[in-house]
Amino acid sequence: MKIFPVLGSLSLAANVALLGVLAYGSLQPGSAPPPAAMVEKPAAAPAAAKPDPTVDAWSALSSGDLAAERDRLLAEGFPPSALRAILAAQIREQFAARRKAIEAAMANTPFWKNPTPDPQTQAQLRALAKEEQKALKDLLGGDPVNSHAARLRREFPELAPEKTDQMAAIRERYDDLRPDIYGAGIRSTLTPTEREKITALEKAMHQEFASVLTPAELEHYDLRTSNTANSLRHTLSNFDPSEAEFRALYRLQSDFDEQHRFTGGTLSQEQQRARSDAQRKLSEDIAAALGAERYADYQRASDYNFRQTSQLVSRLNLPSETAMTLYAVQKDIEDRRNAIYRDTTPESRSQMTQKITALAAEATTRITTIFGGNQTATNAYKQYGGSWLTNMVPQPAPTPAPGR
Amino acid sequence: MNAPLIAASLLLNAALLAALAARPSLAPAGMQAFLVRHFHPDTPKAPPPAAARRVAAKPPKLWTALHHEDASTLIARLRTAGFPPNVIRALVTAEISARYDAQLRALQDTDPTVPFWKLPASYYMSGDKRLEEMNRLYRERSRALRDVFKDEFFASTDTSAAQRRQFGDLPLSKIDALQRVEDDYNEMIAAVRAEAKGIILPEDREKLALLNREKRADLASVLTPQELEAYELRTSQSANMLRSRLANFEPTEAEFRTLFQAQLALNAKFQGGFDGVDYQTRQQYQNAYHDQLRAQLGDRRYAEYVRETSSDYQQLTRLVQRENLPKETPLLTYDLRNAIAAESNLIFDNAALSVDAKREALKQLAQNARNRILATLGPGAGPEYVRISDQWLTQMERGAAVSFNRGSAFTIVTDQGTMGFSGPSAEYRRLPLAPQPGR
Repeated sequence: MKIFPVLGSLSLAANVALLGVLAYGSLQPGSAPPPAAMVEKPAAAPAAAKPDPTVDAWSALSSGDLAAERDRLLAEGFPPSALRAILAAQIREQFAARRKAIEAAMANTPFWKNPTPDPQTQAQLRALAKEEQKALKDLLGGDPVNSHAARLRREFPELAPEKTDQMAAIRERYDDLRPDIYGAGIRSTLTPTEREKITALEKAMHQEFASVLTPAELEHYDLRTSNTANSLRHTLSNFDPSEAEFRALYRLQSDFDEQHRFTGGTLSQEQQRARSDAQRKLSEDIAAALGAERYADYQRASDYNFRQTSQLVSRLNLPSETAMTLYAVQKDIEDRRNAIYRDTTPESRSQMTQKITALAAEATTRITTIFGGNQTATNAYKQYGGSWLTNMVPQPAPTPAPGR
Repeated sequence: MNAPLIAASLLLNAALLAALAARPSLAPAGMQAFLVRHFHPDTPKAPPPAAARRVAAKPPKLWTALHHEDASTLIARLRTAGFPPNVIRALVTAEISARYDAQLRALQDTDPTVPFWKLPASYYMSGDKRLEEMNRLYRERSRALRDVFKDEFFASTDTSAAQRRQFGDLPLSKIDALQRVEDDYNEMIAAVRAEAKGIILPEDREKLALLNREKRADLASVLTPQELEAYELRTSQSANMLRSRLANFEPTEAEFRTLFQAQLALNAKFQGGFDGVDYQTRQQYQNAYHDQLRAQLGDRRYAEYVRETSSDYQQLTRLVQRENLPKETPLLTYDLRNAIAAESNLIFDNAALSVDAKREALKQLAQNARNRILATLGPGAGPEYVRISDQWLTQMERGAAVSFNRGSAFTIVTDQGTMGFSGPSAEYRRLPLAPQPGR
């Protein structure tokens, strides 16, 4: 029969075709999973076969429109900190060419030149940074962690949020004004008028705070943050004041600072005299407010030498009373030295240097004895707390050399 | 063709067809719909891809798929997802920084639960534990960031440009090695300082000196002598301080190198700072330092150095700029001041004059000086510069000769940081006190 060869040939051809179909199907890359497979056993599909949702995700997220990108990032579950970082990086990139143009002159500064930009360049860079911050703020609002408002909310949780926002806005506005006064200068190169402007700016800012806060809130704010309060805290670190003592000292010190806070530069003779008189009055008022015993504690605690001495005594593992003993020697010697200076009789004047030198030698002997003859400790004291001793011998009058 | 072969072939066809009918997924994509339609008529139609995402179990959001605690894994995933380097850097920096932020905020913010009279000072003094801890956290964070961004992938960003300014043309491998040396020694130096609690005793100084010697040796093993010198000129604290102080002096490269060496020699003399050194010794060092500078720079450049590093002249320059006065005005005023000072010394040394006559002449000179300054600077800047000069003018009015011959800036870089000693810019010789009326 001839049918068998034909049937056989067709069957073998079908074998080849079907095997080819199967082979092609299994080799086809990235083929979409068949619906049946998806419906029948979705969980059984091998993990490697799933498309990776992160591949080229960036091209789907970014489109040049940052607001749309923000919405997509939010929808994809990016947390606020990540969102802020991603958008800030792109905004920064948008400003990069302008920044580079401004910084071009600084880029090739050789190592022996100062790389600090001139005042105009600094102003341009500040303006650019502000524009950048605004772009980010327009997209995401204020920074919930690293901003004046955020810090105020953390440090003054009892204040209403709208008040902290207003306070932060005031501060930011004044922060923007300050660089115009400073220019490229540092505090020591400011002229008297510029220093007065800075002081006036601080006062104006404080007045604006007063318009936002109640008197009680403002007092609380000042007691925690003002320069006077911070300076007091530093001075009183060994005094352990009560609330009443701190309030009394704060009131007296802030009255003094209002008129005589040292803001740098050289004071005129008249200013020096006025400040010195006010300082004397301040000391008297503090003595009256604290009483004799606590005033003595205050004097000791606010003495820089005593603070240093206490640190040294602690470091040397000596009893804490040692600092008191050293301070007592300091006071005794200083009182006797002042008595020598006050004695203006011709006889005393002629012997002044000798007397002071002898007093300094006595002081050194007593200090060395307190340290048990330990010369290393005595030398360390000269550096930490004993500057009064090293500078005790009168300074000789300078001998200028006009021709130099 | 024999019968068994044909039978086997037919059976194979049947088996292959059955397999395709049962598992359409075995077929190429183009045939699958046909097989499903004919052999699985009850199967619901495949939804379009977008709808498939809704019907299927909700896939994790992209952030969940990308995020990982390990920064290197996170970077790898972001790179696979096609995020650009600057965005990855920003995102990973935010992630790493967040690990330190809470601790840093706890150290920097004032605690609202502590009453105001018990709060610590907001200033950080040497030896303050808060400062030590903050520095430790900053160091740790910097190191973590440097480690994750060391890949060449991030090399074209701004930070790399900053590195170039700091390291010159050194290859990346050397920069990396230098940073590791710096990291290691900064850590050890910080440990010595923390232990010292703000009081550097001789044994601490020895440890710090040893660490600095070891660090230099390690740096020298990475760099050639020329590279090491260039590295110190670019990055050391002394070089940074000098660059800032000499800005208006505009030194040449040779002058900068000279001043740098002089600064290193000065630092070596004051390793413990100024506090343990009495006034006279300090004055001697200061004079010797300035004499050395004069010899090395020459008289003309030394005079310019003194002028350009004086805060008095910097204030004068600011005043002139503010009032839009001619460019040469600061120099004219500065020379005028020096001429008046020289004149005061001539009066003081004039043996032909009695003390009273000298006092009167100095008083006249000072009053005349105020008028000359006002005339030179005009009504805007003049009165303000007279205020700045009030101290020496008042001293002169009271019978003192004044000199401005020496630079006042005297700054050292010690093992406890940079310390400035701004000596008096003016020196005085005073006539004996005038007798008080009625005494």
